[in-house]
Amino acid sequence: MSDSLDLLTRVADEDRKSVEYRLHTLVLEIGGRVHARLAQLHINQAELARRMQVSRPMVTKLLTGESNFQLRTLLRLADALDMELTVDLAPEGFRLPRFYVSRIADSLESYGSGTTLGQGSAQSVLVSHKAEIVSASGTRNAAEYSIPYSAEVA
Amino acid sequence: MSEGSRLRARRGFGHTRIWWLFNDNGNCQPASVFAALRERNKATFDKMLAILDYTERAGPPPYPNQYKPLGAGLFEFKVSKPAMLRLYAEATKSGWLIVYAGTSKKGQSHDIEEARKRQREARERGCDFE
Repeated sequence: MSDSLDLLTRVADEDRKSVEYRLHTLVLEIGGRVHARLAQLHINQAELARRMQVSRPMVTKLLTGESNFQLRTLLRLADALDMELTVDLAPEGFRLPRFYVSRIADSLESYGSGTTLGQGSAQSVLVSHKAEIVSASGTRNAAEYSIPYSAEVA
Repeated sequence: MSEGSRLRARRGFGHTRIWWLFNDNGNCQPASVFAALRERNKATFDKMLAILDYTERAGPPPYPNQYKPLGAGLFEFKVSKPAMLRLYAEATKSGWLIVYAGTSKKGQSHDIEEARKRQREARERGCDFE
């Protein structure tokens, strides 16, 4: 017997393509990073407003998840939190893994998953990725990309 | 199914840690409300779907106005714009169990009361996570 939950589950993949869904997913992801960083740096909203040179209500709005995050605001936010803003456009179905060098941990980690790829004080690291391109029809074509990363470790 | 037997919970949306509570008649009130909202206000539906997917992937939303502990193991997931939707969930060992949904802007206290009733019922009768 089919019920509401079955019906919703069947159409969920289509719903996940909507602009509203993807926009809010981005807002949640950014919010997660911002809140974690605020906690890490022990920064309150007043201090964030001071660093961003914006009003306190503006910061409050940013931290409620109701903001669309203009690029200008995101840049100010990144600067205030000593973070880098990365914005990219990639072909549909293609996601390039991102890596960053954590100066605090002195290690190279995959961004997001937290998987440590290397430790130590190497001046540069060459990382080779296998990436997959998924066409609109769902066909997967494996392609290899060699991407040099200069990892300056302080 | 007789009252007193165990209740049933099922997963949806490809989630592994979010469950939906069914009643004795095989109906799932929160899923029915969520489905009706999809027809009435797709933007609100999409926002809540994003919140549920984020919760499955990374834990509860980082924004306090979208996620609130209500005490005694009950939590509220909320979207207030463009329309109102509140999902009430209990934190269980198997993950989040969504017990009730409300869409009224003014009916929050009534919704919490209903959610607590269903939470209590699920605890007292036990719940099979299928």
